Amino acid sequence: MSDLRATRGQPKRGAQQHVLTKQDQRRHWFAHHGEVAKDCLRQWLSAPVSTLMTILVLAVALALPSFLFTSLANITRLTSGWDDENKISLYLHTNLSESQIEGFSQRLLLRPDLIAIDLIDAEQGLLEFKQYSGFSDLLGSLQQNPLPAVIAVLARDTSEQSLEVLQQQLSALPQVEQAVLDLQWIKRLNAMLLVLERAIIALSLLLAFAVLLIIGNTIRLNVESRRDEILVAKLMGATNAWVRRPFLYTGIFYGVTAAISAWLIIEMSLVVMQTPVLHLTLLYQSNFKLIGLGAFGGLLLLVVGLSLGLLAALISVNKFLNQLEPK
Amino acid sequence: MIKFEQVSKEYQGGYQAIQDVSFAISPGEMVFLTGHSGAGKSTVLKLIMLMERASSGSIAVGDKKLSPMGSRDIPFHRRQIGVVFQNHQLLFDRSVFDNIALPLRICGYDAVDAARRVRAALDKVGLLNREKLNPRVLSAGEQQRIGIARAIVHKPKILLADEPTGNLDPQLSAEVMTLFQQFNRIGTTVLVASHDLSLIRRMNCRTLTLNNGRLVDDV
Ligand SMILES: Nc1ncnc2c1ncn2[C@@H]1O[C@H](COP(=O)(O)OP(=O)(O)OP(=O)(O)O)[C@@H](O)[C@H]1O
Ligand SMILES: [Mg+2]
Repeated sequence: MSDLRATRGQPKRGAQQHVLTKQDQRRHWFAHHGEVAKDCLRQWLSAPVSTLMTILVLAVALALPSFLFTSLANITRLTSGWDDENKISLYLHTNLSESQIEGFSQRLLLRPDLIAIDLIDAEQGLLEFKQYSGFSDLLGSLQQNPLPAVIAVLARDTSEQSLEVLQQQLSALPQVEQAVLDLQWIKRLNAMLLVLERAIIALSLLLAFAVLLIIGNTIRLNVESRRDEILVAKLMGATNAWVRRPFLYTGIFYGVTAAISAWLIIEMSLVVMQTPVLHLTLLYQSNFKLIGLGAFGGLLLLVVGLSLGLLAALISVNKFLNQLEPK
Repeated sequence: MIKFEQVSKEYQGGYQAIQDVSFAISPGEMVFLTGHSGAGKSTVLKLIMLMERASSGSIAVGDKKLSPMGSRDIPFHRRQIGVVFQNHQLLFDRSVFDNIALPLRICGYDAVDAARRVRAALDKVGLLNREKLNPRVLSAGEQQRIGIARAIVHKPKILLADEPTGNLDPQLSAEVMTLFQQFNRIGTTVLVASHDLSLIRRMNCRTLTLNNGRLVDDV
């Protein structure tokens, strides 16, 4: 028919398509990353207020569990020094003579259910009390020593039940006015702290989920607004990775900046709390110091923020990309 | 280059867009695809692009079967095809230049090389002086030619065009066809879907005719 039809059978020459080497591809990969990062930055700068608001909300959501964990760590550290939970204090009757007290404590030593005995006689008790309470003037004006002699004993068996039995036995002794399981409340506190820790973990998971939702939703809106671009790019042969890249950057940006802001919030509140805490510890003669997130905590916060951002972006974009797969 | 064997496509909802279509297009051929509106022309092109998958039958492009291709292979399959869309699909958030550069950016050309190729493509469609404009301000015919420039800028092995002359006057239509012919001469396989019968007759090329989803003529 025509000269055109005649060319049909000829061997193909092919249009000179550009063939990309591996090196080209690698350079392109890097160039694209740079391009995308710049693009993201431009986007954020174009809507600074809304970006900042989002970051702030995320930062609070990240800071709250971190702050609670830090507080918990501080409290746990505070109580960890008090570990002799098997200590029972025996307050003796004040009418006992010194030799009677001496004899009584000798007999206690022989009991197999006790491992240690420490006698604090009334004089010594008064001295210590004067030293620590700050009431030395008042106490000095007293005619006689109002304090009883105290014997501190350590029980061999530390289980709560046997401690209670022992406490009852000891308080039934005629020389003993009162037997007090000193640090039982510490045990209760520790149990409470454990419950608190669980609660904080649950809250953290909830807040992490909230962060995931907030970033995911932000990215989803972002994807929707660039819908046409993605559709066209996909038809021109863009890989899913190429399409995903800018959104992953955005997700990571939100996660990381939120983590950094959260870290700032926590450190700042610790600085604010440092002075009153110092005052308090001075009163109690303790050398307790507030600890912050520390390097590990800060790093952990950063990693958590980054992963949440990345994960949220991945989920959002993949959901969209899956819709574009041919059926 | 493109081979259909008893291909049928049933869209979701049960509509049979094409049924039992078989044809083969060899490398370097230029073929027209015609038929009434709704005959299934766009569907054939979408199947070649892997925008849709065939319900039955097999399709091969460049000796590669399409059915086993997954989401990893599809981008590389599409890069060897240039497409002129029925509704040109230009992006109105960027300049003409950036629109045409998009396929090159996706394939990873460096900026200097890409710029040279974009200008060459723009020159071919006669719109070199419009590169900085937003495609929104161009006339429908100019937009269509930008779409063509974008389809050919990366020198694809196969060129698919869906109603490329829909918005063009007869003279521009003829020019666009000449352009396709030039591409065909340097070895590109060209498949044009059109219902401009007079134009097709003038071109004197092999023509596939669809009617209600069936291939009724191949001359
Ligand atoms: N995604 C879809 N879902 C359901 N039906 C569809 C879909 N796409 C196309 N169709 C139907 O398939 C038939 C063929 O459509 P197609 O777009 O291939 O026709 P066409 O030949 O290109 O028509 P035109 O010349 O008007 O562009 C039409 O009846 C259309 O309604
Ligand atoms: Mg159509």
